[in-house]
Amino acid sequence: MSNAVFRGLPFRGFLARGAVSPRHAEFLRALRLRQTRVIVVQLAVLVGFLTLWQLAAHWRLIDPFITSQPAAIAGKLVELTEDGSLGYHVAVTVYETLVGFGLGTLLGIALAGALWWWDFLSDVADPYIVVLNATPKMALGPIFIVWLGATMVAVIALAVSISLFVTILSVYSAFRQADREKLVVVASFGASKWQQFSKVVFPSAVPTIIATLKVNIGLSLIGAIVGEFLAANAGLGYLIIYGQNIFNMSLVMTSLVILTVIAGVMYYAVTALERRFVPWRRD
Amino acid sequence: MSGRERIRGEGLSYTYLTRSGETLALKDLDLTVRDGEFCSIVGPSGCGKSTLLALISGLLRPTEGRLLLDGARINGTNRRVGILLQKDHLFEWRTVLKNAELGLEILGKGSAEARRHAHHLLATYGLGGFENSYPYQLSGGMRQRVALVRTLATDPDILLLDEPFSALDYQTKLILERDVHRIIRDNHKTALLVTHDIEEAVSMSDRVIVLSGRPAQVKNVYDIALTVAEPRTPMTSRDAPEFRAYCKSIWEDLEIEQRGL
Repeated sequence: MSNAVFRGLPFRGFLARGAVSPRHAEFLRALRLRQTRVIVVQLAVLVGFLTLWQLAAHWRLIDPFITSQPAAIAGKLVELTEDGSLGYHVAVTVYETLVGFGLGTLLGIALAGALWWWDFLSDVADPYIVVLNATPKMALGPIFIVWLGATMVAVIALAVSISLFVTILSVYSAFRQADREKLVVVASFGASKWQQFSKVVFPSAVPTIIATLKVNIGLSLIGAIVGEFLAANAGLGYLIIYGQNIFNMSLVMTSLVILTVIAGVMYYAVTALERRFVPWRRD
Repeated sequence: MSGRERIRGEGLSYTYLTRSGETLALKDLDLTVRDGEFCSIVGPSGCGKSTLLALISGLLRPTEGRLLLDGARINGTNRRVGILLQKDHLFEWRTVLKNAELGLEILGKGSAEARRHAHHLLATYGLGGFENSYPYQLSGGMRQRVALVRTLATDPDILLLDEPFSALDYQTKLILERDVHRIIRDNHKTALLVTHDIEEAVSMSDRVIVLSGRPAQVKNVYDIALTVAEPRTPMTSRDAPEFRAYCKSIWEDLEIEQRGL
């Protein structure tokens, strides 16, 4: 109805869709024009970078043997897709990352819960967790390989170890920061310790847990790739090392591009989770 | 007031212990609250008023002395006692309705009936239509109303009010005082209000207990007898001829205390 009234008026148009008045239309148009500009410039930067890279390689300003070039990467991408190895290596890396991420996060939250439940345990464990968190987990790689063999299990163990301790520390601190007076509120209704945890402590930590997930997905990917560098015969990390060994920079660069895409997709998947599980947050 | 005795404290003392020492918050304090009575406690800030409520609610145990609820020693939190705090402490991850149901949920009450009860209370206290809103979408006064409904939902017959109006703007505060007062009267509940607002104490209460500075002891007790038409409300109380005199007298009690600090 309102559309019929406004049809043909100056503030109709794609950029002003949904407007309720001429002033609102102007506001929406400016807002959307800006959003569009941002996306256009983002694409321009990408295209410009790829073009410069390609031209520089073409005119021999840079040596494509060392830097590769977009056309070769695209060709490699098609080649890997056609022989089916791309899907395989991506699947291996994603599997290792997700299992490492899932285990590291769940175990981390469970241990943080245990520390909250038994404060004597947390006092005892505190220095050990801090030291283990500060230890560069990559250094554990060789140990895992000796213990678990040059297998996917060793790679997953590395991915878990890298996200576990930081999860324990940040989630435990979020548990402890739960509002004391909210605990008084539930205590006044006679809440048990488990009810204190499930009604107050855990829900108040959900935003922190989601933030931890965002960090952990990246950390687990690092763990999986480094694990594959050290000991694997499959996965994108393996592909990168293999490419380096046979001095095929196009293979290395192609793997890198795919890795970037995977990292991006996984990050946005976690962000989507946040919208689903933290609806009480105002934007 | 001739109702039976609900709360009785004899020689109550409470000491907070920390690494750096001990702080005596209450010392040898006696207190009685009768059934259906609206009783207020005023005192200098930091005198131990909130400690006293924590003792009665069973969250703390007295270091010395006896504290009885309906003749039995208070031993942990009790369903008959509900509390309302200065901040509303609504759970921001729960909707208004889920917040109102919290106490029932903890007590393990059947959810369908609990939901109906909470729903009914929300509608009664002017929150109909906001059941599915989140706390951040509500004004301060509405949030405190939800907190009140949450407390009332489990049907406690003694309400401990720990400065529940002090964080509200003046107008909202007067309205909420009136509503809380009416709810307590209409449902024959017993109330113990801690406040630093003398007018609030006099206008709402049957009795005002003035505490001394820390460690808190009872300094004076006023039975508030106002010439007002029934039903008395905090609004009409403020117009009673005796109102000013009570406020002035309590103010003087407190001023002497402050000077001593």
